[in-house]
Amino acid sequence: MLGELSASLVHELNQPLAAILSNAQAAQRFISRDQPDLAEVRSILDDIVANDRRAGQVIQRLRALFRKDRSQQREVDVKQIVLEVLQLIRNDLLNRGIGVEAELDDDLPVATGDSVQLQQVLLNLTMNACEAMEGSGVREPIRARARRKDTQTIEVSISDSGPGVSEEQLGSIFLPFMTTKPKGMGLGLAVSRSIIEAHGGRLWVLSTPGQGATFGFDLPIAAAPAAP
Amino acid sequence: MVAEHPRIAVVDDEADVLRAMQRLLRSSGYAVDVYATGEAFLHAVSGDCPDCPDCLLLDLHMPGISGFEVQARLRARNCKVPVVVITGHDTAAAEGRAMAGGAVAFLRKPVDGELLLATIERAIGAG
Repeated sequence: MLGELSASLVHELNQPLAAILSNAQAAQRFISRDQPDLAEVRSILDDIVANDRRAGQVIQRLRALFRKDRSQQREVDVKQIVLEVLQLIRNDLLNRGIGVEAELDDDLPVATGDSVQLQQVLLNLTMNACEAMEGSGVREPIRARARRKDTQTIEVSISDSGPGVSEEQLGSIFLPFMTTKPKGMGLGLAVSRSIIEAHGGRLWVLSTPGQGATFGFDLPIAAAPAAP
Repeated sequence: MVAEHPRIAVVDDEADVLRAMQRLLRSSGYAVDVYATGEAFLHAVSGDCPDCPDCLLLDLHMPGISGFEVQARLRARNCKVPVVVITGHDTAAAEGRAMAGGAVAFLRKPVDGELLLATIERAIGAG
């Protein structure tokens, strides 16, 4: 992953750095003229600031990706986490005209994990689903599911009826800086994957192009306390 | 024959890079046309060679057709515009392919302005 990451990182940082260098060298030339074009130089400086911030954002997101601080691991109610995330984005979904249907098992066992991190993952998957739906013009609701998959695993998933993920994209969609969004950074799914894997789980996607996509994760059920 | 203010075309899908390159080239006395896609450039110079710029600065990886494909289509038209490839994807394979496709130079982003201007001057002089 580091090799893929460094190649992507080089590209993501190269763009703002290239713009900053060309802008700065152009400004040097404009300002050396007998009658410097200060309006042009001012506009160049605005772009330099914006591009520098863009480079900074790449670094910040990388820091989040490789965050080393300890997460808060405790027993978590996955159903509650799903409900809290849906509540959090309820207004946003309403504004976008997108509905949500939740299918959550009543008797879900508890998992062990960091509830804030798991919320981040669910939020990311749900917002991705919204964006996929928005572009498609389809008005089917998003489906949020949480169920006991087997004796050791809880499965949580978010399904949309957007354009789906192509076979080509499926192979790389969880890699850092891979994005299908015009303004996306391509870090949401990569960060989500690293969070889920740190929980001993697995992030996955199922999709048929043209018929939507389901992104989900499996989480291990918390071990039962040892008998006294 | 090269005009008094040689015309440079820049093809790059990154708006920020495009604007910065345009400024750098203008600050050096070039007339500059910018294009966000290879298709837009090929459409603009779809006529005979008098429509062509004196030099083309070409990114490789863009939505739509790639820089390699732009090179191939220019070759198919027997267009002799000197092509300077400027890319953030600096693999040896990409360089080999671009140079085999007729590029006169292969520069890596972020490219130093002095090097870029010297390369353009050389490309136009050799054209």
